[in-house]
Amino acid sequence: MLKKIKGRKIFKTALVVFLFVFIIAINPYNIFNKTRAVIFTFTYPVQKSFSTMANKTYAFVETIGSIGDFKRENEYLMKENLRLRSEIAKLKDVARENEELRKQLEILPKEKFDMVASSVTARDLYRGNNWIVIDKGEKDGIKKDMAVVVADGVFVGKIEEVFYAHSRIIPITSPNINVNATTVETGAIGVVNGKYGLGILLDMVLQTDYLKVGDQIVTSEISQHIPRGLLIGKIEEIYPSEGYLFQRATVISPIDLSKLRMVFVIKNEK
Amino acid sequence: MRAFFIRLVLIVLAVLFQVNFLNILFSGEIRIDILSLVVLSWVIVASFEEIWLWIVALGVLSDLILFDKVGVNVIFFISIAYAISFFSRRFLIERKLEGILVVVLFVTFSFVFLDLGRMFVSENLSFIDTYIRFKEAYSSWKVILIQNILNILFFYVVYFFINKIEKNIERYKNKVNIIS
Repeated sequence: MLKKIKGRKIFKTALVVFLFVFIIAINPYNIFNKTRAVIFTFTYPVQKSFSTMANKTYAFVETIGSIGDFKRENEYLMKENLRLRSEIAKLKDVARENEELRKQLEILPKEKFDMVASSVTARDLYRGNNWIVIDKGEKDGIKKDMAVVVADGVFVGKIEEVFYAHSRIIPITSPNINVNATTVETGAIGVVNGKYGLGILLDMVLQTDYLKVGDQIVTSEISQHIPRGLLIGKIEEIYPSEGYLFQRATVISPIDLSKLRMVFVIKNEK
Repeated sequence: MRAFFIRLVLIVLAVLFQVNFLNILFSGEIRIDILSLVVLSWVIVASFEEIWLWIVALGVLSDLILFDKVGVNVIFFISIAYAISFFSRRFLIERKLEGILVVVLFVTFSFVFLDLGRMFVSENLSFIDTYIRFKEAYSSWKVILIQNILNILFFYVVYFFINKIEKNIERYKNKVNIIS
């Protein structure tokens, strides 16, 4: 009788479910984390090949898709060239203003960072909103909590876990990240975190601080390991928190995380 | 032993292909879940009794590489495997029109079931947050349609490979039995 029950599919399914519900409940993270590190080390060549293949395929598909647009793009670029020439003159003035602002806020220019370039080798199922894996790790001097940016100094996340040749990044769109931030124009201070992949939220801003739509958000000096002045995004919408204790703002990042292929890890300031 | 290694390579490659290839290539709104397709095809090609331990192994490896709590994918994979094995006896995949409809149903069901489960359990989201996230992921009919079509196309590719592999294993086992 017992043998008959044990042989049944429903028994096996129930057994597996109960066993793993128990494992989830106790969640021996340290044991699994070591196993994870071993697997990552052993499968490194395959992972690297797959991600390189994916990036090449992506680039190829993008090129194919844009062939039809070349003529239109050429005409557009000629017009754009003329427009940009006139804009250069204006920008020179803005650059001067920007430099003054940097000095006032003590924002570091990106040339002052010691950065490590790395490419994205893996991401989660949800457009990389929960985690992203890069091909640089312990052997390249990467440490937990280091800031990750894209080429033009835009903050994309921080290092959460470091393996021998890989690191896991928690992106700014993840609810598991908390980064101290400040607004450039008004100097309001708050905490930035993700909204389950639905965007970025600036939270815990005091009611006495002034927030403005369109104001730029940068990392503040309170954050450990994360340098001040890395651009996070700009304010799109402002609203009060529950109980009207704080102000909140929806922040729009200038970069699309799903298209992230290459990132830079800030090791330290020069 | 040979069957063991072939199946081990299959699950390792499937997980790495998902994380390092598909998740990078389809990093926009459209997602392809090859892991559920492997489970689906495997249960249809081989019997539940034959591969249930391999499905557990696939789940554990997925949890480790996808940075999930170990057990989350195992539970969903084994549940899907059980459900599919229960229903696939009643429907014949090989029958042309009926088969395609069943595949569409199976693929859609397992994709949505896994997606909801992962959102709710793995990411510790509340009911409301799961609902918001689910609504966002399935907000566009165009995306749902393309996603489904791609998943079905991928299903047939995966099914073809797994069918070949399992037939190969079967042939090898028969040969060993005859010799011994």
